Amino acid sequence: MSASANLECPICGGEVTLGGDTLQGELIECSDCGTELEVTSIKPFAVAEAPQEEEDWGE
Amino acid sequence: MIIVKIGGGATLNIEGIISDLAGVDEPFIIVHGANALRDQLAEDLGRPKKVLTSVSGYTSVFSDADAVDMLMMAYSGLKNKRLVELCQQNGINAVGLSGLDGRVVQGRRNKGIRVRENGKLRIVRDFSGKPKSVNVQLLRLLLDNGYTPVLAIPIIDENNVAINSENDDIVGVLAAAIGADKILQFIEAPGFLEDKDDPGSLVEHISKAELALREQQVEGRMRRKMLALRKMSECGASAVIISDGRVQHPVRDALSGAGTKIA
Repeated sequence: MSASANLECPICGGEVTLGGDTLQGELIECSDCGTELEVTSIKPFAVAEAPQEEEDWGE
Repeated sequence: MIIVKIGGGATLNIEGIISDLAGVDEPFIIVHGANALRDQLAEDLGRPKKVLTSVSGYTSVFSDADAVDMLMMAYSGLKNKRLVELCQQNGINAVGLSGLDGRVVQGRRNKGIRVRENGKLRIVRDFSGKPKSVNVQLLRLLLDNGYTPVLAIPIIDENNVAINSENDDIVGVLAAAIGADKILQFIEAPGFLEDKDDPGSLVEHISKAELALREQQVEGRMRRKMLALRKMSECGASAVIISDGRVQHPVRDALSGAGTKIA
């Protein structure tokens, strides 16, 4: 399990804290700007703005 | 032009549908499912399907690479070829195609499906997507020369990758592109039922406005179906008819008014 880490929000530069139980693909909110972020990697930790999908299903 | 959608249920009278279609005067395109077959194949091969439920309540099959293999085997392989065989036996010169073939159905891969896992919100990415366009030129080439296209998933995405997609959505895009005037959808029920456990609760007619209302009242796969039906009804076809595919003469009965008409 990865240790926690503090990252920078890619939108506003605010602090984003990820814990050891963070999941790959997890969606979190930047506490400063409210942007929805996706955890794109957990080893190492990385975040990006979450994609928006109009209809969220496959088949 | 008629678009005929044959569901993937195991109790549909496929022989009856194809036999009836052989007597239909106007051109048609068949789009078919194979979910029961896919599920059985996946179980038999020890690779059972996984289902995701998105946070907005929609359910879908998790289409990883394994799942796409399964659907290729079931939909565009076995089911498609047996359907083409049956058509040929009934004098319909069918050509079976997946969306990959000649890029006949092109789509865009989903950016991700939002699910809740252990209380956390997560994006799951897989090989699924939405149909966006069809190769009308190829379809017209076939139709104008006496061939009947029989279409199945997978479809092709923007990176030329095979993706899973929803047949109801494909029918809507196809009907709009080709200018279909009727869509016949065969299911394992008399039509749209007010009470899914009561075959006598058939709703004979639903307006488009009513469809939107009903969509908000249901959940899971039914909600997806209602949305897809609503889109289908907005594609320009004069009628979408949902009818029983288990009866002796499914097509004849549907064209005579049996089932649910959305118009």
